[in-house]
Amino acid sequence: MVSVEDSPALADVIASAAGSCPGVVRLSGAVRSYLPGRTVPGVVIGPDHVQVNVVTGYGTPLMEIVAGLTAALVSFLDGRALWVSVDDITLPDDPIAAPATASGTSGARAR
Amino acid sequence: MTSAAVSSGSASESSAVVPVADSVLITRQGKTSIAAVVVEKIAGMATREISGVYKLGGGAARAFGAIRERIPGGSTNLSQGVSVEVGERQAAVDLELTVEYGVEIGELTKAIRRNVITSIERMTALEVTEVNITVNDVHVPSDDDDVDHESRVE
Repeated sequence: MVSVEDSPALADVIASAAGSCPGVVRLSGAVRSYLPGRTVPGVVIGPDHVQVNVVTGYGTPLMEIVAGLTAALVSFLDGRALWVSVDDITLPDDPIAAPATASGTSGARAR
Repeated sequence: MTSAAVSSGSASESSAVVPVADSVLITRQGKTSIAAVVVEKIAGMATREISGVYKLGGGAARAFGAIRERIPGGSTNLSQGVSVEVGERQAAVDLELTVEYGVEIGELTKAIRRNVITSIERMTALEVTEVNITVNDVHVPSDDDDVDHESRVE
């Protein structure tokens, strides 16, 4: 029997792709995907939409970051709409908080 | 007292951006929502960038703007000296600040307003309808030990 834990869930893949987009500091813990034994922060997958909650850096226009996210995630959407929620931004003098817990979702630093 | 007509061209960034409801900008493939705290931080950042601003806040902390609803359906975020209302595709900003002594306040507030509007519109594509600025206090260097003002009268 194949263990479900072995294959990365779609939520992990999306979280990883979103987190490495330029301008995205990390995924926001405001929403999560609930998987057996763990959660994936910042991603919710619905039947006809995918929602990604992010914390961005300061400086790049948000619409550009959203465009980047859309381009990075389009192959995982499978026709679903993409909802992006910018929950917070990191100012240059903010200490960069630790990446959201669980499941290796580490966001890229904003440049 | 507001200068809202800034043609930043930000509306043409994404194709088919259709503003609909509740601080949500809808694109053909989905929608984007921006939390009020994001706009608040941008406004605060833009204000602090102008030299002559000693700090945001200071003076009596009033719930400035929390009572009036200038933008239908807007949500309010209050923090030290910065209050924003974010609506469907617009934002309004209230600032309370302490200026440095010797600054020409009229010029300073104009510069702040310009920078706040430009920064928010460039970064979020929200249209800024008003920036209200209250200068609460003046920072004089000898104030730095934060001694309570003693009243000269009873």
